[in-house]
Amino acid sequence: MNNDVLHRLTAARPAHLDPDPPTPSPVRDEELTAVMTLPRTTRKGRAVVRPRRLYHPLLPGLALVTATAVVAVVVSDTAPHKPGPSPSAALGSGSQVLLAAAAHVERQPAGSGTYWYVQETFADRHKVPGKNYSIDVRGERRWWTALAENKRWSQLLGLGARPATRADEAAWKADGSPRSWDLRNVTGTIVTHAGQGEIEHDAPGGRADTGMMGDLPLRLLPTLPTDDKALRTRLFALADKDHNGPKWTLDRIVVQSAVLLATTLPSTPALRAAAYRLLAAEPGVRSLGNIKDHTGRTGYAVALPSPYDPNLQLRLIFAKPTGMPLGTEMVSTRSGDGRSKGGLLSYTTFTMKWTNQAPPFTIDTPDPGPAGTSDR
Amino acid sequence: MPDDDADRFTAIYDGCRQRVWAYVVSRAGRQVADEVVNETFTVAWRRLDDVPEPPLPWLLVVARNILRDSIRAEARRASFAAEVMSWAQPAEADIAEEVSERSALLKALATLPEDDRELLILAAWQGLTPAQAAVVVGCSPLTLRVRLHRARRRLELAASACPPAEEAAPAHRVSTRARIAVGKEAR
Repeated sequence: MNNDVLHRLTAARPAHLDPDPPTPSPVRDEELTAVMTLPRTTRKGRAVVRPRRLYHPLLPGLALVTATAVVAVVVSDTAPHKPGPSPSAALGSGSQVLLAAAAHVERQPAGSGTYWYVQETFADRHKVPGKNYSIDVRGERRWWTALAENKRWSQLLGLGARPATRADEAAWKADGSPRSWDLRNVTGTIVTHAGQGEIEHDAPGGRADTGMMGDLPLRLLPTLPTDDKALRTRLFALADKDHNGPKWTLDRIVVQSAVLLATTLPSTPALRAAAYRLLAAEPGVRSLGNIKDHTGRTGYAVALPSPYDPNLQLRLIFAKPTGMPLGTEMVSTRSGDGRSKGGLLSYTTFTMKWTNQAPPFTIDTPDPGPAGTSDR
Repeated sequence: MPDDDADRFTAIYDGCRQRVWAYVVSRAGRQVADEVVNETFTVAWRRLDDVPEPPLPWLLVVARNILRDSIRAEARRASFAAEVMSWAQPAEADIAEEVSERSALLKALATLPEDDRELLILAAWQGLTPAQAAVVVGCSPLTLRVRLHRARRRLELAASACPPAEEAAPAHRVSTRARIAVGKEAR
């Protein structure tokens, strides 16, 4: 359905590399038993323990025989890590909030213009190693969509890092207000207060026009149903055509697409409302009440299990009284790895409008070519 | 050993084992995959206290380091070359037109630099978010977006330079089918 090369690549994945089927049980039993009889390492003693070396890395067959001698091909739709059922499966406050937002948003004017312009600020929150505060590593994406021409322009900027909260800012000041942070053990880079400025821009006609992952082809938008049940059926059929996954994976892709239709895609008011209603029927949707987004705009939010990762919660923030989307948050639902349950991992905020003002560039950022792009 | 640890490890294993296996196969072929996967989960067990949620990016980093440190690059390439041959074969249900487009795309993927191929596989086949893929390859999320963007372009270029393959001779198809069957058993 989608001409994006990443989607075509997903669809082309060889069947034996599908990660969804469970591990065949003889392999599972043998590997789990072998590994879990080994001694554990305490945090204190870890430094001296090294992984065993591989002694026969390339003797075909030999390495395989022990673990996988006679294994039947087992293909099953059972999901080994399917997100569990929501504790509050009944139609809850979150669903009602989304249905109310849908009723508001479908009454918004459709708007008109040559380009659908979206400006999105995004940030990943990281604790600074060795310090007692966190920073938001921020960037900005701008994109212009000419729906009638099926074209898209995009621009990516690095906006630099800032202390995450007021408490973090106080701790940062107490630390001497450093203007750069060493995150090499976290993200592999040193980030600065100033940021990189423009990183790239992408005009139509290049080889690979940038889209969001899980995106829908622009040409399909006008054909999507504005009834939520029909929309779900259609999105499922599209996902089924495009991905070789079991049903529960396809269901998650449907939610990913619905989130994009609800947020930044140039949906008509009726289509946006249908996406809200589709999301309202998802299990585990909760109302978070009134909150402010990360630019200080007042709105209200709902939370739902992230379609991207079962350990994350996706929050959608809407404007009062229009019901238009303001931004998203990704929140951890488990603790560990320096994350606390409920801790914010990343956020986006966006502004969107129809405009006749053309994008400020007509060609792509030059590609520096294959050499020197690795920053490992 | 506390049962909690065993339960948590088993949950991590069940959630991620096939993903780690698929990642290693797509980097270095089936010949080395089981052993690298085994090593990876051995490390995870020993360092269970350090394994974050979600565990997959962490596990992929471990597998990646094992691949880098334990298997010589030339051996990895040879094993990968054998793997790629099996990718070009059609799946049972595919119709002819889809087969040729699919095999041209996989062939193009195989011609890309290893760094590009890894990013595309993490995004398209492992379904990692840009932030998670950045953790795996050790760069910032912003850098990752740029590198992935370039890798996509190069895949497009390579795919347009690799015309769909000619229909393979029947005898060849039979023999490769047999090889795929063996490969499926080996998972």
